[in-house]
Amino acid sequence: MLFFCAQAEAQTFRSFETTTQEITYTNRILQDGRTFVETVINTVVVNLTPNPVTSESTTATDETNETLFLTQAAATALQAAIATAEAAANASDTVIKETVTAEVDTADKAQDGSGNVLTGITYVVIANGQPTFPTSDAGTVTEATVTTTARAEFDTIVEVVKPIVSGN
Amino acid sequence: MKIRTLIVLLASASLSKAATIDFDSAAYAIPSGQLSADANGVDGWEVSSGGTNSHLGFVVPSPGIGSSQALGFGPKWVLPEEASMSLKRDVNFALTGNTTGVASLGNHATGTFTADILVNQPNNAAGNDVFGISLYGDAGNETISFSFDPGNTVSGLAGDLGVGFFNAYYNAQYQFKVSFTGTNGDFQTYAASLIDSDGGSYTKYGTLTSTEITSIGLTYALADSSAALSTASDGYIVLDNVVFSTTIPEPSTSLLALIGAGLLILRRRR
Repeated sequence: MLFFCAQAEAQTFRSFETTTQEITYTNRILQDGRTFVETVINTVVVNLTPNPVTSESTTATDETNETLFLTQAAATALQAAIATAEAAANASDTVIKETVTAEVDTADKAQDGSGNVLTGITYVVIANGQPTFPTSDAGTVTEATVTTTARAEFDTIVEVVKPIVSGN
Repeated sequence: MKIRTLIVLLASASLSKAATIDFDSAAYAIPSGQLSADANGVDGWEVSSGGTNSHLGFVVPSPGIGSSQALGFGPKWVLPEEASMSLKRDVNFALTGNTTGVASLGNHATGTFTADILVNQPNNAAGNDVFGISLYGDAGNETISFSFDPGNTVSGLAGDLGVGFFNAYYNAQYQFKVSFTGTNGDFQTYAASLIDSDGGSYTKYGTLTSTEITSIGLTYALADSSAALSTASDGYIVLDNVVFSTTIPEPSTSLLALIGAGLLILRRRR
């Protein structure tokens, strides 16, 4: 007896990806008295996949934080450059990261006395008159992907009443 | 009733036949629990890729573009496999040989096709894609069609979508109407109109060499045919209320009309 096995290939439905970015600037005073700007670029990528067969929408979220320590002058210049880039009509969803990559070089980053870029800093925080010395590391931290599913509905078509427009 | 009146009535009587595509019929049923159903292979509809692009054509659930189900075509659920695609269904609508008697007093066979369409695109953005509706003839590549192109609007006019020499809007419902006329049972001359809900319309005219409308189709094209398929927008065109009809002079009607005309001649001679 012959058995024929068929494996049904699951349909791949399209995903809609949206990317949002934010950047924060925080002044950090080091123990030697110098001030640098801790700059954190937060990127959130959301992938939404509606499935008409299961009637579920799957949402996968990736969040990345990239930390840089910049000189105050570099941070000021970066803020201005980002503002200009975001105002452009064709600004992409990742305009912040693109601008950072284009604008920031080694000379803009916090360095030790030997000219090496700092990969971490210990800074001073004074609370209730008492100094504390937290640390912060440069680099990129990616959060684990978070996946959720939710009941999906067919988007009702919203009709408008508008005429055809002819020059005749 | 006067003889002259009788003659006119007899001459104007004809046999009308109509065929519809009913998107609420059992063939288009959406399986329980699903948001929509794949239209490929349903009731004769075929996607141009040969049927591998499932869910590019789909059944739009009620209320569709009115109060019932409709047919949708576009990359809402899946990406297209090609930059230009279509969803077609055979209709085999004869344009010639429709006489069954002798047409008289200008009472010739005619044909009409109507359908409601709407291009659904929530986001009016650059790079949106091109949709269209077509009737396909059996001669050469003859088509009667309207194409809705957001990248080719008529300059100086309002509207979201360029449709040749006029503009239309996203999410506005229009009627696609083609009236076929001719003589001796043939009706290959057409007037194709796009009609808005206020009755405004734009009409283009032509004469086909085709002897039959073989199929009806919805079309899709990427805004930039050389761009990656992943750049496809998520809009789609919706089709509903499809009706094909013919009006053909009946032989008895024509014969009676001739008899009536003879009677009228006799009456005048008296």
